[in-house]
Amino acid sequence: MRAPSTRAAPLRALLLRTRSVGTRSVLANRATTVSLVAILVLLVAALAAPVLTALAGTSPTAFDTGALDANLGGLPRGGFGGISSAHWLGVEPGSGRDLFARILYGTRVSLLIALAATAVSVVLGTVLGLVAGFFGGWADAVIGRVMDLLMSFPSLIFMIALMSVAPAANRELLLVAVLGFFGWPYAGRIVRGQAMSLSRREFVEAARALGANRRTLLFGEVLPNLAGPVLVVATLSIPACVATEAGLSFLGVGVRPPTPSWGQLIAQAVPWYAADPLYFLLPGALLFGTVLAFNVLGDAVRDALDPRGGGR
Amino acid sequence: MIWYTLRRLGVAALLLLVICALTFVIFYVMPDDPAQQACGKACGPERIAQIRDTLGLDRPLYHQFGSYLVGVFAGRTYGTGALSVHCGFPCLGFSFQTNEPVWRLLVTRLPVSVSIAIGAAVLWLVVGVTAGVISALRRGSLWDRAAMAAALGGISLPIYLTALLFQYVLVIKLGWLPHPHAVSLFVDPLAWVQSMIMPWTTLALLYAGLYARLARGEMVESLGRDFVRTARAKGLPERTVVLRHALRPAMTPVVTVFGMDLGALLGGALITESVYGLPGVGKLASDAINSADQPVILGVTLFAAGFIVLANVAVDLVYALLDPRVRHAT
Amino acid sequence: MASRTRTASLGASLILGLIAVAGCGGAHGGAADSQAAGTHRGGTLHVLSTIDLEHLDPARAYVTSTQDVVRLVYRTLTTYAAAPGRAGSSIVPDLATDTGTPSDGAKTWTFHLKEGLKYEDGRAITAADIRYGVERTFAPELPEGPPYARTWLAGGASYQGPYKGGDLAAIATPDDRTIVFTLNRPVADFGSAAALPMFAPVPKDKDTGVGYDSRPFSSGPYKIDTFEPKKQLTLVRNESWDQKTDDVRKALPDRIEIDLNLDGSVVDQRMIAAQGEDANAVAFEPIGPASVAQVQTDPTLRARLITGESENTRFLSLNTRRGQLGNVKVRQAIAYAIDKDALRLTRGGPIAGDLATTILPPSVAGHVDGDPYPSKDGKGDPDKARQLLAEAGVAGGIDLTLDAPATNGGKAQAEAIQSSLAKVGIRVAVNEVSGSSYWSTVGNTAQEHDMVIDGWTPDWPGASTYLPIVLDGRAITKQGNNNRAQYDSSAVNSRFDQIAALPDANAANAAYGQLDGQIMADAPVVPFLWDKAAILVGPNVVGAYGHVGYVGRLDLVSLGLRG
Repeated sequence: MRAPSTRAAPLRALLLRTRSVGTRSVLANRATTVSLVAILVLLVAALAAPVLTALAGTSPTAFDTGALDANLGGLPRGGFGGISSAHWLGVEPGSGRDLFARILYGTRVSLLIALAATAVSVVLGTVLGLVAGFFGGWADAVIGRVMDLLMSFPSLIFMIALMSVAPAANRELLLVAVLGFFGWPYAGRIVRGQAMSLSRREFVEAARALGANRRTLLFGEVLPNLAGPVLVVATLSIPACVATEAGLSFLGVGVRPPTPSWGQLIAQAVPWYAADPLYFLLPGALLFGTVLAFNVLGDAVRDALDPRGGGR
Repeated sequence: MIWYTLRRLGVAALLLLVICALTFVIFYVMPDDPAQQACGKACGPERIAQIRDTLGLDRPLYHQFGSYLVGVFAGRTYGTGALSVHCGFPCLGFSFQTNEPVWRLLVTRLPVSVSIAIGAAVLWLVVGVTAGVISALRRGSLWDRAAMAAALGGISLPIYLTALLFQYVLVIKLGWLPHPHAVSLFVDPLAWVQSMIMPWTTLALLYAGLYARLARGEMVESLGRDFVRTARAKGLPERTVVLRHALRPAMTPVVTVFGMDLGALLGGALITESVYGLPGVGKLASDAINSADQPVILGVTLFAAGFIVLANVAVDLVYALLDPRVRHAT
Repeated sequence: MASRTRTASLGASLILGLIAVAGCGGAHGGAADSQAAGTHRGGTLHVLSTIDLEHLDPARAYVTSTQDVVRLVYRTLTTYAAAPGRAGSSIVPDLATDTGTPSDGAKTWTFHLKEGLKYEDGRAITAADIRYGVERTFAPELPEGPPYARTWLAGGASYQGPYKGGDLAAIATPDDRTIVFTLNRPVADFGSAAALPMFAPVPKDKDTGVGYDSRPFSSGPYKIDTFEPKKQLTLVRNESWDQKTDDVRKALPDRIEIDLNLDGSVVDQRMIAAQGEDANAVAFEPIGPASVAQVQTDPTLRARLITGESENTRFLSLNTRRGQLGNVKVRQAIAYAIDKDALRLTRGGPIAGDLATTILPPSVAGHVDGDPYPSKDGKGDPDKARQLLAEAGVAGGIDLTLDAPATNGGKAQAEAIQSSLAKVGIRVAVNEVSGSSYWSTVGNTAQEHDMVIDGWTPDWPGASTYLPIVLDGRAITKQGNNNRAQYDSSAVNSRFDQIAALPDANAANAAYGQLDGQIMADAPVVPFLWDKAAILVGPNVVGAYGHVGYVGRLDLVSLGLRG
């Protein structure tokens, strides 16, 4: 049911020790640079959404029925989705709301949810993974079982089910919690494994022999060495969260209108795909580009940090 | 081996039970009143009370869960008296919308989901794994870089974007394909392929990307292993080295992932089925979500979870059969 | 307004005429066309539906679209005339020889059955079967049906249905072809009510209780071959049905396949392409807004678009018992502020119907033209609204919560309301309610919020099942409430009683029309759209017209296929 599991996919591939794909070439570096710049631009645009829409003189919620042709069922006037000097990316059919403003505000919502959910899952995964890996014993047994359970769980269908019955209040926060909760075992498992092997490594053994206590070991020796793998998981978790949030909103169980998000914009565009293809293409392409950019970046980070994968 | 099988099945059953309990709690503790959901438009207080009674909503939660579980394994009877309804094994309750047994809804929808899943799986396995293996053999070549770039693009593609684009270009603009609709392979094979080719490709684009990356990585590692070097040193032909010695170990993780993915898809490809309007289990789920038809959502969740869990067991058992160390180690 | 709608129906018959010329080489006019085409029997008609048929059981089939379908399968004492335009709202005999004979001041109604009526297994349809069918609607196990039998039949209040309570004394069957209903009050239009599915015969030995829903026994021209809920209903000819006993149903196709729960845009695109079997198909629901442009700009497609008038008014209910909405000036301000044109645009623009200015639509007898809250092109008058809000002492704005169905259309309408009220300082929060529980949620006074996206279609032609059901303050119930405005005016309530006592139906209709204006002045509801249905039919389909009794959807009993 995990309909096309963009969520678990990259992470799972990572867990299964996918080798890097020869991305040390100049070309790949250029792709990484482009991705990084694209992501930064997107982040800035999302943060500056109110300023940018003010500059464009539009709002994500104001109707503009004058931009629509009533006799054609509310199709934007003038072709190309109603692109004009007033509406830079055209308007939404049926309501005339400005697409530039809606996509921009959608970016804000989508990215915010993905970043927050990633933060939740990484923090949760790191803490629990550390506890399991470093202390072992029953803590490891319990946390390990929970991780196994969550990872063999049909998480997407379950998220959908959960979101569909959850109360309407603050959908964004709910999405962050749900995405974070189902995402942490991926980080948790890696951290646990690393913590286990680290705690048996010579420098930790040495520190232990020198009389360092657990706390110092944990924060002084083990945690800094986990930064790399955690960063890789985090970078790959962002596009997965973006895609999952979009999927949930697409299915109508994510954010609620009039709050726009990419998935929701595309869902509203579905009936119009034949009459006004730009309506689904614009947010769709942006979603694709963002996920791709994060994936490229994630690959690059992994290549740079994964001691085994790099350079092959 | 029998002991191992039993143990794996036991764990799987336990997992299903946990999923069942979680889903059940979520649905019956959530603010929306199931009796009101079931009630429909002309809904009076007597009717609500009657539904509460029939569904046993007044009884404690553990009691309700117990009845649900009993229903799943042995069937159950709703209500009492002349008009009580018996729901045979495996009873997942009745749809609030249509009063159909949920199990029957699932079974009638399954063929469509199976058609989509199997066809897509064949496509992505052939394309993805081949591309990945060739990339591994020609590491650093133009082919490798192009294939891996395409794979990265594939895994970044949102299903609904692909699906809408396909429909817009192939159906609306070019008119090469009809709008997908549910036809049986056994009734009209041509129409079946015509209807399924877009959903297959849509899913395969995503999964082929994943599998190409996975296959390449495993193959690269496998080619660097000692036994492959030894085989080469013995002067075996490259073909034999690759096919006999390197490929087999590289495919083990691919098979694992494949088992899980296929299991997941058999439980319904939600977005693909809804965008193409194909009445599979996934469409059933998204419709049930839109109409808050709780017994159906609960049923689909369990059904899909069942597929995934069983696929996991199947993969484990295949391993155990192939490699005796597994069943002794665990 | 009336003239505009007349133009529209004229357009529809012209379209029918065009098809006739193309197909049969020279039939004239709509009615002539269906006659001429009516001679060809055979073929498989496909119906592409985006919805489910919720209940086929005659005791439970209360949704208009379902009633359109089940008319193919079972017959009722009376039924709607099978005719385009407003002629469709007249009631004609079906199983009965006439539309019922009242006596005892319309408190007793007698119907005689025609001769030669048969079920699908060839046995005769008896008056006792109709009695049993009506009795079933009392069973609490079979809910959702219309309430009329329960409220009208003498002794109905305590009767628990045939499963627990035996027979109901208020229905007598002196012989196999006579049925007499004894009512607890005079009901002038009982003969119209007898067109409801609940007046269909159900043979006792075929009744499977709740299970009857999936396979009602056929008394009409078609019987159910297979039924997969949410997927497909297949009807095949019922050989026992006799055309001579039935003036309404043409029964032209041999087989009718109704595909359920399809995606709206897929249906539109399939109907536009009309390839292969789809040439023999009709859409069941109106085209979506996204397809309007494609159809309007292509003359051949426009010729295949059938427009039907309905008796449905869409309105916004203002819960008069909540906060500032108790103030008539605030309600009037909202009535001025609402941009009806924007609301209609979310449904596809003018093709979706006319902007409503009264509660009773022009298609209902008694309608009186009026527009108490006028604005240019129906786009709303924010200045007037702000002025009224200032007079009400809430110039600073108010916060309201709107209940809307969580469907694409519902969300779009909610956003349109949000946007037009924002202009006058009314901040609207939207409470989305999942589609299936929408009516039970807003019908629960404890769960209803300030405003509700609402609408009403009468249960039979005329105003008697319109205003009294939606706006009688004494009809407010805690659950299953239809008076979502919770409007309770003693003047209006007593007027309802006076009108109900009028012996003459025309006088009653005229009185309802006047009362409509009186209620509108109080603005408990803001009507915004009188629905029309624009439906695509395949090039091989003949006899298509929108039926006013089925919210403008095609009258399925008259459809046929070209030979």
